[in-house]
Amino acid sequence: MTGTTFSSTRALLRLAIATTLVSPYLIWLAKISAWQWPTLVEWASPFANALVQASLSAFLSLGMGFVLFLAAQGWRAPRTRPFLEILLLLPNLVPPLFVALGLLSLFTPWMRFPYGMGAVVGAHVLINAGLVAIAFERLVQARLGGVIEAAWLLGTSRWRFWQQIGWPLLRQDVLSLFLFVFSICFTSFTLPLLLAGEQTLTLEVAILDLIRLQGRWDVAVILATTQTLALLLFALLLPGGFWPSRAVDRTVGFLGVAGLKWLVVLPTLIIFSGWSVGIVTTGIRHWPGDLPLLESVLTTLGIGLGTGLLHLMGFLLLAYVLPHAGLNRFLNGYLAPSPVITGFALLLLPGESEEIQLFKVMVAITLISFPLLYRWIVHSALLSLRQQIQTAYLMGSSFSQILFEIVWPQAAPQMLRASGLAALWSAGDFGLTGIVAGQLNTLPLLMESLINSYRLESAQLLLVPLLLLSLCLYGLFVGSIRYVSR
Amino acid sequence: MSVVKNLQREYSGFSIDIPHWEIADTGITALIGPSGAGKTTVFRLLIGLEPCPSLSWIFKGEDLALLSPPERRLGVVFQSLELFPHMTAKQNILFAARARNMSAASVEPRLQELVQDLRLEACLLRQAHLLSGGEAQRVALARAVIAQPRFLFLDEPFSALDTKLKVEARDLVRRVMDRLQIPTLLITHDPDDIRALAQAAVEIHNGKILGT
Amino acid sequence: MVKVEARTRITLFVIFGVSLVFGLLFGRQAYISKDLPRELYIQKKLRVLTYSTFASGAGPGDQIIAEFQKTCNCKVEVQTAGDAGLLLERLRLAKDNLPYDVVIGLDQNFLERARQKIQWRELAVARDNWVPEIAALPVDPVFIPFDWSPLTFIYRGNQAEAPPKQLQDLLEPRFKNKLALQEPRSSSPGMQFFSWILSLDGQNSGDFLRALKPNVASLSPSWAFSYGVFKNSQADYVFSYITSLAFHWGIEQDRNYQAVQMPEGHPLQIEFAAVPANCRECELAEAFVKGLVEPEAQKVIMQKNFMFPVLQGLVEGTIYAELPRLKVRTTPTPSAKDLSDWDNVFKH
Repeated sequence: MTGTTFSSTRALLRLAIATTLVSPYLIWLAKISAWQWPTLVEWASPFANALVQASLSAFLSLGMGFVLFLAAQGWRAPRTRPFLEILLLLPNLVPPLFVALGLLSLFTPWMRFPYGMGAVVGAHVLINAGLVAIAFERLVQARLGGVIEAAWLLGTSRWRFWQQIGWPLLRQDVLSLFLFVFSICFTSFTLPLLLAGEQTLTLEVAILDLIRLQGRWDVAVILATTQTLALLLFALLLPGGFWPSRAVDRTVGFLGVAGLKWLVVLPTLIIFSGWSVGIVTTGIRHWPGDLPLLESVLTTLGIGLGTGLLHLMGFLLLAYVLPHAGLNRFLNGYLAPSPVITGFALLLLPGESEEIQLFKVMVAITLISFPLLYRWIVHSALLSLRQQIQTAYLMGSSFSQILFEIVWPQAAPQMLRASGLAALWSAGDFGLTGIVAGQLNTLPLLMESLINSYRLESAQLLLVPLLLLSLCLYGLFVGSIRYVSR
Repeated sequence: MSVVKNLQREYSGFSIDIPHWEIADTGITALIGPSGAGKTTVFRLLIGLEPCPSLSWIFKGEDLALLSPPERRLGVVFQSLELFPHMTAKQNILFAARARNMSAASVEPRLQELVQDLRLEACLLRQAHLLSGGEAQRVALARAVIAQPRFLFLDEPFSALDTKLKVEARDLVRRVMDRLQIPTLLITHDPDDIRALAQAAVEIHNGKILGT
Repeated sequence: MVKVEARTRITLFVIFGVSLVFGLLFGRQAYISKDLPRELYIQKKLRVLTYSTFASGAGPGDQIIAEFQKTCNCKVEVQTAGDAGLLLERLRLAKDNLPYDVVIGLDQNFLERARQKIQWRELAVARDNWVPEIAALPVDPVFIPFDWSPLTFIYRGNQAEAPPKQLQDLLEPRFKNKLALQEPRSSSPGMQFFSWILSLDGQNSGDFLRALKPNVASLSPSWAFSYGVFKNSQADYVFSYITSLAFHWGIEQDRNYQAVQMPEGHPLQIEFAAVPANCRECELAEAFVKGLVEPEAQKVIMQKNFMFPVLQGLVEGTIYAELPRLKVRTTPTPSAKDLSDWDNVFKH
């Protein structure tokens, strides 16, 4: 194959990737014939609220995540690491309804629950802080590892270290982490619905209301576009993400604050605070006899694994067609429209057999999480290989040689970790699965139907296998880093 | 002689303008000039890393400018070397051979020669990110020439080395180049490089060739 | 050591992963289809659209469909859309490309919109054996009711002191932060509550809601969440179906849960099934809807959906017979203006 056909194949693939990602928009553009602009009331107040809510959520998540990071460093024994990571990830996996109820039960004995912005922000902080703490640990190890040792030997105080060394060196990364959490909270759906009380705190909620109550898809799509554009703007202003390829074994432990070390259990504790022996026994006693449990486990595993693999293949494909400035810019700023719009767009496509619907679920989740995970985790890895790829290209390397011998061995850790996160999220998905293929039996949908038939406790029990399964999926991808990228 | 024509490109506030330039198709030609003179840009334009629609570069009867960069079959040593850090020195070198579909067996004799000439025995099985500056520079050269390129580009190849290593490195490079007889363009700002290696030198200033 | 190339390893990993996905899905398929009759090879396909909790897991859908498939020589394909609100949107968007044969789960609040946006087929369903509450409804040949329940406040007897005796009592300060309600826009019980208030005194409903507001502990977007709030003791009264008691009394064996009975009469929630006019398997669809109001399916609905059957004679001997008979009243569907009145009270 000559270089020219290479580049045209790659150009086509690039176009295909971008088209696939924006396909929900394209489908709606083709479907909607009459457009109407949203009124200022429909648009402005949810948008402004969402901005404030997401900024606060992201800011406080970063703060809390940093504290959790310091607390986690208080645990010195290396064998506690995997447990810490699981503990920090757990809140991210618990379905929103249980997060909300957990949060509620904190207040009940004393006061009316303060529905509103504060509650939503609090819940977002609770579920995202652990993830941020994990990111902080990686960043500090990779960016500050050596400096920390030097500063330690010089006897620098912790405060001075963060102020004069840590912050200046990490500022860019912290901004990009901010954008990541901001995007998640900006587009968050269920928690704002449950906890916001009187306000509409995200455009997602406004969008769902428009669709469900008035069937105004045109306005909904326009609102979704506003959301995407806003994030695109932020993404262009803020630096790209950085996720180090491997945990560097540096002594960052001395940054830990041993006095805080039990704080790592706080988010999990809050979320599970409603749990009691009573719940477990009630859950078991009222367990409906004929639940399709095995089927649900298999389907959930299938969706998780399939979505993870779709991400992995997507990342490999990107590695094959990048570097390309335009596509890179697009990927760094693009955000898929909200779940209802993406889900319904896929429903408009032909194919309603169960297999195709399962596949549509995986695609829908991928469309939404792929750009986010790419930007946060994979982008910097591919970026750092740009020169090497160019060098190999000049030598006449085939693109598969570049992919398998240069890109994959060096970027696999990031690609697999991002795919693992996708697998973990998708296994816990309620919303998109409910829209695209609600007749499927997955663990989250089973929980939902249990809740709707009064069996809250049984649903809570189902959380245990769901969490185990999600963590297994994550472990499978992250664990295979060692095997695959040797 | 190979003939370069219409090597011209406009950048904001800077332009490369070389209507006609004859580069020797044997031996080492040096392209010398102060920083900012356009050396690296000329190098990137010739290699094809940046587009230059007007360019023609007739080399032994063939217009290289019509070919895609890999098809030009050029050997390149970047200033930053760009070794693949996760591979050993040997894997780096053989990577280039495989890129040209040459089997490890067929390049073995050539590899042995290069290893000897460039004194790579000791570091051949070491990971690239663990090589010393001098070793990395020699591995990069071996990688650039293993697949018998028709033309070799060396972009400031010695700039990262200290004085003593530079002398040694120039010696090794000369030895290899004498044996391989690959026409080479050496981009440098160091007159010592020219004295030690080049048969001809061209000066570039403000994007224009001043003379030989 | 045998050196395995990166290319081989990743290929192996992806192949392993993909085959695992397929393995899982086939295993699942084998597991699901193990109890399907073998003769289901070439048959007609009946496409049913419903909301997801009816179709999946603990809902009644699976069993009803399995029973129907035993005799119809057809395959029932279930499609869903999140909740009842999205159901109508999915139906509307499908238009004629891929029409559905049966729609299950619209309640009164969506009927008007359903009638406006979609053409429906008239069905001949016998109504002679219906319970009085349903038989009293105006005859509608399109939307066939298949379950129902009056709504009221559910509370724990040992916790709450004297429960409200009439609606007006709800405004008393002793109920401060005690009530769990639902948003009318996103929840059917929420809509029923609002329509209840409107039906009593439409003129002054705004004043009533304003006075009620301090007593509302939680205004949830969904019934499920408000019931969770109640179950976790974060509210003493939850607006719900009287049939909630069937779960607590029957399954939980806990008679502590009680229902408030108001002399004014209670709103009634009815769920309907219907057949769109552009159906393809219209005969089958009609048979399916008729099957839904036959005793077998009605019993499944009682057991799994915890709603009253529309057929007479089924509740006898079950826990449903012991539930208080609430007086019901007809309530209006709130208009857009009414809803904005609601917003004026609760969103400002």
